[in-house]
Amino acid sequence: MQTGRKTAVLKDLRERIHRLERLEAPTRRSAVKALPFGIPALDSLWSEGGLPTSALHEVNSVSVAGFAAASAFAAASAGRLGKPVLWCSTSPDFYAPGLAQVGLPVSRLIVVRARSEKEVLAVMEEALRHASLGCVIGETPRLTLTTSRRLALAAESGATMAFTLRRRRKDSALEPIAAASRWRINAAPSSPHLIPQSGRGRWTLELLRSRSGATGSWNVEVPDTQGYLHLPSALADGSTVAPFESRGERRAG
Amino acid sequence: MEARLRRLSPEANAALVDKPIVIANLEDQHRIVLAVNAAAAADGITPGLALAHARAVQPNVVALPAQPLDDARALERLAVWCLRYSPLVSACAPDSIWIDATGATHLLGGETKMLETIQGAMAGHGLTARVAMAASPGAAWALAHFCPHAVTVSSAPADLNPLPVMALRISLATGRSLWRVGLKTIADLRHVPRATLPRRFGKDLLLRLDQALGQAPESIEAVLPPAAKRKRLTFAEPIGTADDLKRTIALLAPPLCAELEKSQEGARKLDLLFFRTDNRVETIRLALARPSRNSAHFIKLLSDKVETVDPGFGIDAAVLTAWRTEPLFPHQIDADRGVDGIGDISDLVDSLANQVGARNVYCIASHASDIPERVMQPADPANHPPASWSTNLPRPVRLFSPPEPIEVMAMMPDHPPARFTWRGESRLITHADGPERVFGEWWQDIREVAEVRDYFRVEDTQGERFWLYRDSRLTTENTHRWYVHGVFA
Repeated sequence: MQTGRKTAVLKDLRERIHRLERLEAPTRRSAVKALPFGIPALDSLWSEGGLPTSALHEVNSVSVAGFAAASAFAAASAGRLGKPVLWCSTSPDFYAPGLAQVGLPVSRLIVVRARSEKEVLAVMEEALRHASLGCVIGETPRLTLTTSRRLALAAESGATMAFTLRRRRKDSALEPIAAASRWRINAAPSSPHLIPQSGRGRWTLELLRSRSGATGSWNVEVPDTQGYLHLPSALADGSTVAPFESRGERRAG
Repeated sequence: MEARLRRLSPEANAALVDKPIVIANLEDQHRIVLAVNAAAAADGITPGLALAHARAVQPNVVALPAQPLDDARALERLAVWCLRYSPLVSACAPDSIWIDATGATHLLGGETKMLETIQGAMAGHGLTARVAMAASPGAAWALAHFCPHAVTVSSAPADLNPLPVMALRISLATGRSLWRVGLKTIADLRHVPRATLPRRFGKDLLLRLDQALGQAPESIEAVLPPAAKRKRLTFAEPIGTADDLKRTIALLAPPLCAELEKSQEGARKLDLLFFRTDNRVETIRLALARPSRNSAHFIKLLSDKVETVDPGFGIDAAVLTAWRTEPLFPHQIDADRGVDGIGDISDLVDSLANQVGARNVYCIASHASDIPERVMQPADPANHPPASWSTNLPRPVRLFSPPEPIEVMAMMPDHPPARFTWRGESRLITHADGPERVFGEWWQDIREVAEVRDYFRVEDTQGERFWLYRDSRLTTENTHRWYVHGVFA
């Protein structure tokens, strides 16, 4: 009884804060509010049943290969939305045939080559507010709480998904930003084969923070041509059981 | 000279090929040579020579009469054509065109690149152009006419010092009298006390010197494309605030759109010119991804750029020109924003293109090629063909351009490396796939005749996957060069 009332009060407060933050009730909402991964272990982390669209997500990486993985993660998510995608970078060196193989058809991609990091943020914000795209992906080495908040609000008002891809040094601390989820992706060794050939690539996918409070770490296979991640099939030694690590509840910063 | 030859009929042109040709004009009872072609120049005939002397040097010389009016008209037409580079272009008879490149260089990849582009385009017209860029119209004229290089970008007024005094656009008589007293270069002139110059050589000289050095203002008269749709607004009192400029835009755009609608056209390129009271012209240029006659869209895009306009002491007229239009028929508004393909987001594309430059907003089209870096090409976001790639082999998501050289451990021939060092980090390879052999495309570049690349997909101990290749051409030490070309997801 006591806990039931507490939950109701908390729910009411959350809704009020949400309304205050938006100044008004969000009027335009896309039909899809969440983007499912197709992996129950991941989808069950959000009450919506998947990664929230109309929100900002941050994907971190610490190496060149990690950054490629982060690009593929964002591209695969954007591809699953089935809408036009804008990719903004100061050096757009991504490789379209490779993106098509992780589920982002290039016919839906618009590339913007920005001349500065500041311009990346400006282009992202304008594209998000335009509300006709499915997803906006930006490569931003630096992001402050204020700029991330602007992007998050733009994503919400335009009902568009936003990803910021960030390459950082191994030891740099994560500063607080207003993202709905923060991920870290690194390459992981692929499954051992009998023949000395490489199998399907793998990632260590870490959810560092999320608005729903969930965190975790999974070993996944790179997206297929439809943009869906897969959990590796069980191995003989059982070393990869997902999620192999799950921390307690932590609120998003 | 070349423009003149192009006006001749093809048969007449063929008959004249390789002959020494001069254009001569009657001046003071003498026929003076005005221009020469390469063959005549090789015979030692230079402009300024009397035709009789030229005939003495080369009896076979063909003399054509000068047609200054036709030349001026042709120059005007060429100036209108040059509007593609900047909204403010002026024809300067007899042989020059000024292009105000303020804020236009980055769109063509920088100053030198812009000049080279212009020179190449003129060569495409069959004209030999000498191009220069400087801080003032006078300096640019001087460098284009008298600098030994065909393409010059000047950064400082000191670049003018070695040029002869004739580079100041002064009369031949003034030039001769300067020459007689030993003032041969602009540097000489700059060392002479200023007050003495007008008394001896006229006011014009000092004005031209100041204009070349950027110390006196010089306005250039903008050419306006003749057949374009245009709306003009003249003010009783000069205006200057950003709000007034925005109001001007809101007044100009709707009538222009109404006129476009009447002729069922849409604008692709728009120029907004603000004429300042001090005879300078401030410009805003817009390029649209698709033809449009939506006045609200025009107003938004133009108003976004009002901050770049410097009103000076005030603006007394504004002209909005749709200088490139395309047919645009009324169509049903599409309620469904296409699911596959981009759909109609041309207003966003326009807005971004005007922010970062049209070349920096693009779609990706596929190109039939075996060389990995050539299979994708930028395409116009407004209409691009669907892209598809035939290969089923895994491809990286990031590609290095150019490929980065790596050090590899010695290995069996035709086998993937066992270890490689890249960016100072040594990596042990655990898995490898390959080789996938790619041949150079000699029909693109003759240097690729012997190029053969063997691509390997390798994975290191941390699971990071790279796309390496071996250049099969042997180096002088009888070894192969290895490169890392991309990173897999």
